[in-house]
Amino acid sequence: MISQILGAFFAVAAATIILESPKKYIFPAAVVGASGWFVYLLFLKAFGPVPATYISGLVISTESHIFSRIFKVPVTIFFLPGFFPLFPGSGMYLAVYEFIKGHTSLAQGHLIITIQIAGMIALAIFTIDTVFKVLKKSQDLKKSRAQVS
Amino acid sequence: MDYKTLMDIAILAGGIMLESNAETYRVEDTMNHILQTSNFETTEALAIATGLVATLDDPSIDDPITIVKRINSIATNLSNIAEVNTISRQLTSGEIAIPEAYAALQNIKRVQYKQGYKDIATSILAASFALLLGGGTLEMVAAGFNGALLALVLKGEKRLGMGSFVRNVVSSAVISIGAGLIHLFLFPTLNMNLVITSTIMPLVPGTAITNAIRDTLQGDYTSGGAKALEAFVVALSIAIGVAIGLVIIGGGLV
Repeated sequence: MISQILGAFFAVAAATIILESPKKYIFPAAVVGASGWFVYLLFLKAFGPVPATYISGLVISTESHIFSRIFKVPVTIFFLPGFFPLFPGSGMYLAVYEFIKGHTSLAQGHLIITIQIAGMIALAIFTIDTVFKVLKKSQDLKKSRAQVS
Repeated sequence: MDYKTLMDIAILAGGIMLESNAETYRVEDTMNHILQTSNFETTEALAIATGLVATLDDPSIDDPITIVKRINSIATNLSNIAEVNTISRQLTSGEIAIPEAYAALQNIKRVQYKQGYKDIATSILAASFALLLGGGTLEMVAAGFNGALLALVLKGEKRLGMGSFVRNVVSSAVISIGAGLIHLFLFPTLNMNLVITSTIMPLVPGTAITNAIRDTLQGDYTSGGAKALEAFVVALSIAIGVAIGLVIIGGGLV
C-alpha cells in the first residue's frame, strides 16, 4: 500500500510537469494526489471502487480548495493533477479488452463502472464546490453586515 | 483613464487563460474584474471554448469599443493561469497600474519546462501509474519504457499535425503493441493489462472531464457541453487505438 501511495505521489508530480504547473506548487499538488489515493485504497475493500472514488474525490477537492486559499492561486492548479489517479483509465481499457476477447457482458460491466466513476468524480467536485461557495457567501454577508452596522 | 489599454489587457488576459485551458467561467470572471476597474457604465465579457468577446461603453467616450478574439490552440498551462490571476488581482486592487499590468501580461507567455523534461515526465507518469495500480518492478520498468515510446510517438505526430483524434488512435495503438511485444519477447510473466492501463493514463482526458464538470456546474452549458464532448471523443479515440493494437498483437489472447 505504501508503494502504491508513493506511486500516486510521483504520478501526480509528473502530471504537474506535463500540465506546466508552477514549480513551487508541484509538492502540494503531489500531496493532494497521494492523500487522495490513500483514501481511495482505504475505502476500496469495504465499499468498492465507485463509493471509494466519491470519498476520495471529496478529500481531493477539499484539500485543493484549502491549498488554493493558502497559496492564493486558482484552485485548478491542485484540481487537475490531483484527480489524475482517480480517472477511470483502467476501466476504460478493461472494457475494450473484454470486448475484443468477445466477452460482451463483462465489457458492458466495465463500461458501466467507468461511467459511474466519472459521475462520482463529478459529484465529489460538485459537493465541495458548493460547500466552499456557501462558505464564501456567508463570509461576504458577514462582512457587509459588519460594514452596515 | 487609458481605457483602450485596459481593453487590451482584458483581451490579452482572457486569451492567455483560454489558451492555457482555464475554466470558461474563470476567464469571464477575470475579464469582468479587469474591465470593471474602469467604472464604465457598460462592461461585458463573454468567453466560449473557442473565443472571446469584450465590450466597453460609457457616456464619457465617443464610441463603444468591442474586441473579438479567436482562440486556436489550447494547451494546458497551469502556471500561466496562476500568473494571469495574480496580475489581475493586483490590477483590480490597485497595487499596479495599467501600463505595468500590460507589460507584465505580455511577458508571461512562456513555457516553463523544456520539451525534453515533459517527455521524461510522460515516461515517469506511466511508470508511477504502474506502481500506483499495484504493479511490481517489472511492470514499472515496462511501463516506463512504454511511456518513453508514447512520448516519442507524440513528438513525431507534432511534426505531422494530424489532429488530436488521429494522434490518440495512433499513439494508443502503438502503446498496446509495445506492451504486447514486451510481454511476448522480454518478460513472459508481465501483467500486460496493467502496463497498457498505466501508459494510456497520460492520454486520458482528465483535464477535459474536470473542466467540463466545473463549467457545467457554474451554469456555463455551452463550454461545459463542448468540453464533455471533447472528453468523450478522446476516450473513444483511445479505445479505438487500444482495440487496434490488441487485434494486431493477437486479439488480447496472449
